[in-house]
Amino acid sequence: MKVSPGNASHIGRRQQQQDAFALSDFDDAEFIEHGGYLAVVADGVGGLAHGAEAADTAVSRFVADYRSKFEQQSVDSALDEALDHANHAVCDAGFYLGCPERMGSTLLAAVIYQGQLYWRSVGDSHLYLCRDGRIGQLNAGHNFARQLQTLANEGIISQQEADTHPERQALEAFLGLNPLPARDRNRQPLPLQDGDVILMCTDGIYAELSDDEMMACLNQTPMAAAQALCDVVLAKQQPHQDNLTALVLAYESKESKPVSWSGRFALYGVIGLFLLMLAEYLA
Amino acid sequence: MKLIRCERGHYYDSQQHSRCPSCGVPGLDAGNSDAQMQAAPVDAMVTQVRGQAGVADIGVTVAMVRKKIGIDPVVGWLVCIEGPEKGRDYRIRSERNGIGRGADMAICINGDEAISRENHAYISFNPRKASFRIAPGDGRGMTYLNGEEVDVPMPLLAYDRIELGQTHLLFVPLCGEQFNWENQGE
Repeated sequence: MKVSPGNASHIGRRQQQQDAFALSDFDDAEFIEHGGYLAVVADGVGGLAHGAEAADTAVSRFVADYRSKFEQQSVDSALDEALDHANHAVCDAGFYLGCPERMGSTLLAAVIYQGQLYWRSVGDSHLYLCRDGRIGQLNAGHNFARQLQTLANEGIISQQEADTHPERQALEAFLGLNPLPARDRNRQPLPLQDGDVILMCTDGIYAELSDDEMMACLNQTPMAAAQALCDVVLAKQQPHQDNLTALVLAYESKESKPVSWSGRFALYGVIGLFLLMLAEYLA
Repeated sequence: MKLIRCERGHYYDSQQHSRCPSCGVPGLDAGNSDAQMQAAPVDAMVTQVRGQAGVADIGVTVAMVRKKIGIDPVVGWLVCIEGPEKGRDYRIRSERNGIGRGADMAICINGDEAISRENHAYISFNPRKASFRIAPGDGRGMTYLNGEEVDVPMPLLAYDRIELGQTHLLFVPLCGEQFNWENQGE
């Protein structure tokens, strides 16, 4: 089994890069044995103070915490612990920067461990699974829209009111609130198939692209795919383009064996020698 | 393509870049403002927070903070004067506060490995008497108050020294005879 990483990030038209991301070391076989492959992306809440610091704090704390998991600890429990600690770190940072509960960041973390996907999400960064040429979103964002939809379903407000509410995109849950109002996770790890691609991105990407546009970028190496996603968004030249970040993880269940050249050369050598001897013999 | 992972966990192609493009150049913080938040208008149900002084971005991610019903204000502090987190302070709130390394502890001292993860000791504030006490925790770790072992709940007074693990804490009360939140120091 093998996971290849890809990542790309751009500031867009904003004054500050408030997205942050990190991946674990994909060559550290010893850690992969018990911790798998980790990818984390965070988007600082720009409407609050210190968005960039919040996202940085959340990501670095999460990765450091997950990296320090002990071997017997399950992936689920290590992820939960890392999320708690990351939240605590953002709360603390807010407190020290003089803006308690006024500093926040979304966080999306995914781990591929033994061919299965585990994820945790707070806020509105999206996680997609791309399989057999189709793409599907695995997590739901914590926007006010979710609540509006519930109210609409219960007939308390009309569907139109829900669809046109000015605060639809407002975040209800993010790191930096103690306790966390909501956190999403998959209850059962998701078994991956050979050739699956996991895409994690902030709202700067998915707000501008349709599912088909995303799919079109993903049929290449992860690194190129992540870059292509950013390039396609930037090509649209939106005047208020938000920060954009895309992480792409390509999963292969089998190790593809590199072609052994030495074997081939030996074979050609023997054939060549034989022909030479044949030529000598005939001459 | 030759992928390299920088120390902050970003991957980049070393044939295209000599250093990590995602990290950018430190110290080149164009347009980064340390402006403090302006007071946000209060709504009946939610507090809308938008617009950071100095950052004129339109359509930024907007946060919605639930307005807290009632407050759980600080009643005193512990200040770390010795140990891995020297210089930090921890807020004590009303009633029982567990001290430990765990993130869910009311008083979280996560830099000191010698402190239990959960409830190494308790600090409690009795709002009726406006008095503080320190009580032993549930774990194996010992706690000392001014050098004395804490084996039963003991009263805490201003500037008492508490030792647990490798950490020395100084206790600084806010609520007491001079001030309490109920009568706002009238």
